[in-house]
Amino acid sequence: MIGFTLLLLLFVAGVYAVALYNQLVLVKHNVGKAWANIDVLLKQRNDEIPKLVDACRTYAQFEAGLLAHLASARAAAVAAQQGASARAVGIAEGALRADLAQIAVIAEAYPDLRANPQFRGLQARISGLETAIAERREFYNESVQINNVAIESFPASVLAGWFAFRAAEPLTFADD
Amino acid sequence: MTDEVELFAFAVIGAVSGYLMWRRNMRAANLMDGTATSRLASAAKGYVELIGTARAAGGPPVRDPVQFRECLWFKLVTEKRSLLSRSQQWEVERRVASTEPLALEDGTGSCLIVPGEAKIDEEQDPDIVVKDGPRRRHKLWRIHDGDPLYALGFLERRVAMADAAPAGLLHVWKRDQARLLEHFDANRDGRIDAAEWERARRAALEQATADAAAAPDAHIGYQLRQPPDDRPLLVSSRTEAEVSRRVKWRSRLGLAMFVGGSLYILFALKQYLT
Repeated sequence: MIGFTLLLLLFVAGVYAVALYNQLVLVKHNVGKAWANIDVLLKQRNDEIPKLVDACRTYAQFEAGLLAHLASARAAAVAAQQGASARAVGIAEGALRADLAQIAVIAEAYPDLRANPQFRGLQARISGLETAIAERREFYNESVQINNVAIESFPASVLAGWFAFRAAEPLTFADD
Repeated sequence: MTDEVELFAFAVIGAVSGYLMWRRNMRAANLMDGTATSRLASAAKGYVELIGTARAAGGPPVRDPVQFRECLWFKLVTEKRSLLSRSQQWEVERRVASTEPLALEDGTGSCLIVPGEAKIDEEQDPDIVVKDGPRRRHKLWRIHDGDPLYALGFLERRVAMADAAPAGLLHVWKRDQARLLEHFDANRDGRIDAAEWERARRAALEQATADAAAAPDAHIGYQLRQPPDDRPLLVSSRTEAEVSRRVKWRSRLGLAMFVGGSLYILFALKQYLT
């Protein structure tokens, strides 16, 4: 009877371990999915920046230095995105967002530029994408927190150690 | 002997149903705990968790059949206790639920929920129990406008769903060849050529667009559906914490039933064999 009871307890422990393992897989995939959701918007936003730079360049007196800086910040953001490291993306995004904010401020001094429908359209599109990125970043960071709590909680931490489930990095921007 | 056989049968049923209950609720609890809350405006297509407020989807008002109060959704279970029943247990006499869609609004968008597809307030206590004499009672679950709503399911944009509507219409039209020819066979040669088919396709698109615009729920951008896999579509008017607590409690109850039932089976088998 004791042998059967032990076997039963072992079976229960086995089912529980499988459920824990599946939970770790679920939260890991949710982090990946949340990252992919941000990634696609970052790409869309980065694709709009050269068009914004071109629209500004048509105004000869517009600060060429800032536009060059924005172009290089964009290149850095694209490179960071390819590395898929949340920390690197956060740093590159911080610089890029600062340049974009500066462009918006400087454009205030150029009424013709502000009246240009192409510039206005691009600004609206980039601003819309930024809002969506902010919301998806919030979702990504919540998914990261769920993942990290799951792999650090006992007894899942034991399984996480055995099967090399790792903590994920939250995405933070320099202006946070 | 009969009592022992009955008890053994109960133990088998208890162990099997307890095991299924344990696994199902443990999975639901894991999905709830492991899925971050999405906001409709920025949610991507897929399995999501949403938290918001219940709103009418634009259809006719719904009234519960017991108190006749206006609500967005109801489920009624009428139970009776038979005079002849030995156990004096309540037995389900009838089960009805409203089918009118309702919406979940989270401040960034609205999402349609179709009650037939979703398990609404499944395994939650009823909102009210109305006694109808000593041997009959009505258990009523209701969702009112403005109630908090928790949902877990597969989110899809309704625009994407509407895109598929013309194909569905064409499929229906093709089944009635006589009417199809009557409407679109312009040269009356008894067959639909490529140009005529293109006209039929455009007509289907126009009708689908008009139908979608005329629908009372046309303003709702998303729909929460049953996932294509076996994950659940859960909707509740309770808070996330309450739903989670309930699901975990049922998971533990299922485990206890499974272990208890299994131990009794083992004990009974041992007694029988020795």
